[in-house]
Amino acid sequence: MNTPTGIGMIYNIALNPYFDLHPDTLNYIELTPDILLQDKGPGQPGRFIQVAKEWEMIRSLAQRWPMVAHHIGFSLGSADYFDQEYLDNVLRLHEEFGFHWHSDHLSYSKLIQGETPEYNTCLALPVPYDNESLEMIAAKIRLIREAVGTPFFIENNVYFTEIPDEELTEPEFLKNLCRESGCGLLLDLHNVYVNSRNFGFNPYDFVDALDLGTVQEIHIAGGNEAAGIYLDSHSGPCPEEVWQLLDYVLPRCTQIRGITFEVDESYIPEVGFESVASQLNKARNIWNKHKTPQHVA
Amino acid sequence: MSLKSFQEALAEIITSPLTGQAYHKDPLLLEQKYNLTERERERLLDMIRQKGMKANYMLYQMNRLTPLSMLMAYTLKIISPQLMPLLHEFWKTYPRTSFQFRDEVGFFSAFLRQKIADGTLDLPYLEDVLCIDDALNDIRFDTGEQSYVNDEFFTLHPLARIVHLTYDATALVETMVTYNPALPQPEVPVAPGYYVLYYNGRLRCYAVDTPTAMALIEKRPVEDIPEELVDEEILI
Repeated sequence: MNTPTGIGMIYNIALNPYFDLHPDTLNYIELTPDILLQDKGPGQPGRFIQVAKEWEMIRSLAQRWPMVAHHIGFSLGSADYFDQEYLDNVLRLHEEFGFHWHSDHLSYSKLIQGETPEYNTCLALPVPYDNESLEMIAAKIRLIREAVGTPFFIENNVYFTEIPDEELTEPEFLKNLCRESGCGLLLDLHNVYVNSRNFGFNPYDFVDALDLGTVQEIHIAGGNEAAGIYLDSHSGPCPEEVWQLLDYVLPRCTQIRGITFEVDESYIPEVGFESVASQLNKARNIWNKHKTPQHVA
Repeated sequence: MSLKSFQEALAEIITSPLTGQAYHKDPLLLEQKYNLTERERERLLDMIRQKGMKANYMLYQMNRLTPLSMLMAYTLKIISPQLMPLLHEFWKTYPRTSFQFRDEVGFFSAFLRQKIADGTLDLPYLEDVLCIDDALNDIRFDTGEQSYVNDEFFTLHPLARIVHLTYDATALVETMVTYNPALPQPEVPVAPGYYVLYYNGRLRCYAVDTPTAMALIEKRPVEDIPEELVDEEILI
């Protein structure tokens, strides 16, 4: 199957009926395997368990669409941590589903402290944009890329507190990380919008400071405000500012493979399938406007 | 080691505004607990003062509440008058979690059961409702590893569990659908005994006598086979 280009969506269980209702809105499906796995913990025999009925659905979708994997469990930003068993399980899934690319986030969520077993921070936390973090994360990505053998992308983070006195700006860090590790950038435009709104910077200046030639996938989503902070809740349609940003950035992303819409399953009943289809169609219109001959979808 | 220590400290800070405030008030506590450089210490203290730290506290709590609200809905209705104090005590008791939903609901159930046993938590129907939620989660997370199939005699369907309740199971579940602790407590018939709960997205409850329940639990042949359970294909 050719590497997919075009419009995709992150899978969740609430979307199951969608795939028969609006199949033409999708060129690929992005799967976060972690949400459909039970993890018994490091060192446990048969550590990762697939719940049969949910994976049957994934297998049937994989017959119809190319699949890509968007992980949340590498915890690339965690210092002194690399979960080889997690990578081994990714390789097993890759063998079965033939993911066209893999990605994970520029953050950390797992730690081992003292004698305690691995624990989860329950919130993806930012890493300092320092050279120490850069070298540590780049080494892990090189290891994953070598093992998996398909492209690997790193997603820019959403954060609610800034780490002061960093050695690099976020665009510098992302640029250097892509160069040092050989990975691509998964540019989450909603994350950029969230950060720009909460910290009062210009999102266009931010994307202009990136090396957009490294962007291979774009995420779009919606959010909402709570307690004076704008959140990346994936709660529904993309804000108009994100569409404008997409229209601005897309023609500059010369290596782009896909635009992926994210919506949280808890909001699906409220949002409705028609609205999801309308978001994907809107993304496709922008895609069609800017696609070049190398983008075949 | 230092970056790791910084990350551990930040992970601890976001768990509670009280933790952040304590470190803000006495930065020496940070130094005593974590192996930080001066820059890392200053970074953390700055972050604690930022407006966005409230979002971190809120998101941490929302994330930890999500599996409970999704998978222990009946229990949360019963404890809703004391929800926040109980949650804060739970998070303090179980500060480190794998964040696997199965583990998280298991920890919360164990926490509530301990409080019931200690006599520090006494709410109407709680013990029974907790039994029902635990059984449902056992079915939801059943990976087939424990499935028991026997060609010689009837066994329980993999989507069924046996529980012992004080109140009539069907009446209790129906009550829970509209239960509001702010309203006068609804009457649920007392009917102590064993019940089979069958859940395939919809919950059905069947009373069974003690010998039948014990035989099914101990995976022995049932002597007096309940026809209804065979007809409904709950005994297979």
